[in-house]
Amino acid sequence: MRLSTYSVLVIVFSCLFSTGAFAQDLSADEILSNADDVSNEAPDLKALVEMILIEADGDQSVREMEIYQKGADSRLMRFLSPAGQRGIGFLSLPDDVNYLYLPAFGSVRRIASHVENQNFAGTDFSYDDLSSFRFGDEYEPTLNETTDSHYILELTPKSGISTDYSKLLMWVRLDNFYPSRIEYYNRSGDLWKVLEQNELEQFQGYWVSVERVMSDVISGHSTSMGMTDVEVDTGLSDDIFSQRYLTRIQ
Amino acid sequence: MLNMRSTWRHHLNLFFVLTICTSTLFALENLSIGGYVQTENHVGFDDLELTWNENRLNLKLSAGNFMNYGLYSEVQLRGFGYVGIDSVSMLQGLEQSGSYPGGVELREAYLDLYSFPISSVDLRLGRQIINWGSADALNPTSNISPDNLEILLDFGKHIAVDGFQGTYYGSYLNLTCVFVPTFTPTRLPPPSYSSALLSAFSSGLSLPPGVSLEGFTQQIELPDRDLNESSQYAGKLSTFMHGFDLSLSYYYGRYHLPTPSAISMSDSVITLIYPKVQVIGGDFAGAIGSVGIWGEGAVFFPEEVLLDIPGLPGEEVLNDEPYVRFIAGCDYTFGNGVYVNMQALHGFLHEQGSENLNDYVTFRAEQSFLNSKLTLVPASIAISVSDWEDPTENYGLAYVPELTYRPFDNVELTFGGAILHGEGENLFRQLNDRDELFFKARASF
Repeated sequence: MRLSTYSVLVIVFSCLFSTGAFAQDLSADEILSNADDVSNEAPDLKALVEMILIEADGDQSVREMEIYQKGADSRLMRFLSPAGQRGIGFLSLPDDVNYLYLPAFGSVRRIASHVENQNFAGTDFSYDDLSSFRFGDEYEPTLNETTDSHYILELTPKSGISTDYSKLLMWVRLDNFYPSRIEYYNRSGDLWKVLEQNELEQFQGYWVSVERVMSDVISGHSTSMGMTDVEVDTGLSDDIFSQRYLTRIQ
Repeated sequence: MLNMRSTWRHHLNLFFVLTICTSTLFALENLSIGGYVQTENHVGFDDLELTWNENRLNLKLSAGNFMNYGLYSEVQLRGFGYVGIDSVSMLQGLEQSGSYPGGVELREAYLDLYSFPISSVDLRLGRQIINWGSADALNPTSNISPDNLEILLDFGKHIAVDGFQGTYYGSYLNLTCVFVPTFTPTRLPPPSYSSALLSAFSSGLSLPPGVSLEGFTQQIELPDRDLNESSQYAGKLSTFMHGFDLSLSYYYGRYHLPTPSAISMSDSVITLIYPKVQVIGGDFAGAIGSVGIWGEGAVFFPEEVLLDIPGLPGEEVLNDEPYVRFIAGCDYTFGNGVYVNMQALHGFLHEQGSENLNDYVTFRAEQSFLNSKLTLVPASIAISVSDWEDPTENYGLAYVPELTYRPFDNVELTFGGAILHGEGENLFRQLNDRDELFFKARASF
């Protein structure tokens, strides 16, 4: 059966209008849930990451690492450069189970969740910022505003959640629910860091932010994190997210 | 002198062979060559004695493909500051290398075979550092690779052993087996520090009246080169349960620090041996809330060592009574970025025998600034108590603050000091007059 041009137009416009009407009716919880889904929808991901650390005076330094990610809460990162950090690995597993591998000592060390609010390797991303988790598990959302292009959610930590942030403001795109900007406020309520994720690409139908910039508005320092050689949904084995693979040579 | 020259020639030949071998490896997958250049200097507070001056070129080579195999080697060329010249002729020789202390060390060289011979097994073959246990730097269950104590207060470094390691990864349990056919002793610090370590064994000896061991030559007797005498083996079962990493281990081998076994009054020689020992250990690591916690304990079953002094009854320097060394610790990072780490332990690295164990507490606080360019360790403290009945007269204290600055990527400068104090019989008391400043600079490539 072939659809006429008229039929196609009717379907397209119906979808557009229905999406808009549907979007306006969504609750804050549903919007955040959709944002979490689209941010973590790729079943697994493998990529090379280049982090450029930019000082307030413009000086730059570079960190390179490879990253393996599966689901919303399993991630293995391994430094490729600078030379002094090459081989250092960090494994993040569900339930705040983290391991650090230091090749110079030849041993894997269990790291408790107290590190999660600390900056990762001198970047502006905390361990927590880099872990792939669902915001909905840790934050209570309220819908502040809906613009032409974004929902603006205010997220406050749920009771019992240990974080250095008093609240987050999250800009969620209307078209695909991807969070394009997140503002992090410190415990004093002042704006501390801003994350921008404007470079999105689709890999096998999954949205991936291939460039993120985290800026510390208090210190003036920022970190740009770019992804290359992205491979999505390749069926990464669970075995990769283990101490066994953390210590392997590459 | 000739011996020193031939040793140096051997080291240089080894280095050139390694370099040539390295150049043939460029066909390997993911070949990576790196390393660092480092200088490290220690100066005594009181007498300005240069107690350590080392300049090092470290070369690392690795290759592999993550899924099938990997290889890793690390070579160090080290030069030490003081030349060994005591005659004009040594300055006039065409080959002076033997007069200049230094050497080439193959720190590690091993081959990894992944998922071989079955998918759940990984093998590591060759010279490797094996570091077991969950505690920070002071691990009673880590007895395979000897401690590297050449810089005494820099605990937690090990020397590689030449052996085979295989790990079976099961659904719930992992089993690691290690076999090391050769014996490698602990590397000791310079003589003025080593005496503090070794005096722990000799201080309790009952000698005939008027006899002193001062001036005696200490002679090492290594185990025979056969598998019965020189080999060590070990096994470890590990698992993850209720949020905790748990392991049980067994070790059969030898102490890596020497124990006196005979004294020859006529030759003024003390003979030291490496007694056999078996160790059963266990450890855990996990968290309570966001505080990291760990614990580790080991029961040592040593062989008895009787000190042989001709004409006198044998004195027991190491009894065969089992004894326990243990450690427990925790760490936490506060919201302002201050990291603290505290451990309490019974029995230090060098302490052997049920009657020679002391209690220690270590505490470390550090904070990084300027996006980790600057790391300050204002408090790195170890306190020991050797007699709880009179702790004010039987204690030791080591305070080792340091500051690390990273002005550029790959460059690290560390300044620090060590203040040592104590009363009674303990390690830090023995080092009372060894307060020092140190400086270390490293550039990685």
